[in-house]
Amino acid sequence: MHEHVERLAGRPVSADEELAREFEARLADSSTLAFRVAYSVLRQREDAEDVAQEAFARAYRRFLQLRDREKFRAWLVRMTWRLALDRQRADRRRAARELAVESGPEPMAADDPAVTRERAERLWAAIEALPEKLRLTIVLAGIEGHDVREVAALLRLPEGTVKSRLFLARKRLREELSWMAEDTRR
Amino acid sequence: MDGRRHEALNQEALRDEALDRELEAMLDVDPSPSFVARTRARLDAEPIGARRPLWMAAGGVAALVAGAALVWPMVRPAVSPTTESSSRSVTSQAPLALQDEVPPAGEVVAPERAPAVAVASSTAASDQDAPGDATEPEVLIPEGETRGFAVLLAHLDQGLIDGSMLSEDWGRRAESSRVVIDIVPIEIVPLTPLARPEGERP
Repeated sequence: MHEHVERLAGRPVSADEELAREFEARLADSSTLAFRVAYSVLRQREDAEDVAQEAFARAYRRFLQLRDREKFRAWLVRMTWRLALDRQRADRRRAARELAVESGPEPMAADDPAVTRERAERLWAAIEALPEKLRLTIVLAGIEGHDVREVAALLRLPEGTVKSRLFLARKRLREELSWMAEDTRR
Repeated sequence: MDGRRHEALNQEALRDEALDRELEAMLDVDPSPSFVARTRARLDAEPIGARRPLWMAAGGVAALVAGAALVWPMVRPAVSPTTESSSRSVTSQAPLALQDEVPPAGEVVAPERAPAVAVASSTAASDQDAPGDATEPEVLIPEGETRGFAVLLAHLDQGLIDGSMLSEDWGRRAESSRVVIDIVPIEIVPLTPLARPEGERP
């Protein structure tokens, strides 16, 4: 246990307590971000929560190196994304082994119109078809209204790179959706 | 699915803003209210990662070793007993020995010795500006010469050499006792030409 003790509000606060307090702030600040990143891959609420929780647990174990907020969030996004992809692959392998029909994405709210639901399913499929770099970029841009600067900070990339990736991702999504619509029409 | 629906889908697909809006709506899903509490409960059982991981410590050690391996070849010549450094050490001690050991003879030798000491001190001072070699004076006198000079002083000190010959007027006496050699000028006479071509027998 760390011996370094500092006085705060008249009570001695150990370094571990201080770290735990900081982590609590990060957890409150970034829990939705981690969950949504996981959800964008898994589209299952429980699975997404499991993955986000695992990412937080890993961040907790190495929090000393992740105390900076920007660094923490960037690391959390990458870790959650990777864990979610791993989980998705594992699920698919298991499903294939069991020869079970893969369950579709979590249905949207029951009161959604049929067009919206169908289109959302197409959009999910189109996003999944994107290369990983474009996929993560467009997902982060769609979470919590992140602008280019925020996405660049999360991915630790120059803003120009994020812009070009967003442009490419949108272009491919449009094309994908058009083809899907064409296929459906036939 | 009817045609109008498909048309609407197509048109919608071509608009970026609509795309972004849709994406945001799709991702606008919040975790369950108990998510943070469950995460917190899970982490309560674990110690927070306040210590640096082992690989960082191992990396630090490896970096130290690599650094030492890089620096050692640069440092080693300066401390190893090479010819140059040994001459340096003798040279650096020689002026001190001169000053400490032979005060009377020092008065005599001073005119010859003073410039060397002066140069040594000035170069030593300039060496202090040079990085990494501030304590080592520059080599001014060859090793053999220094050793001979030290032996001479030691012999003078021990009385093995007559110091009187090194007195102030020794130089003048040596000048006056110089032997003048009479050198006869040489006359150069041109050679007579040969009667027959060179190499032909008479």
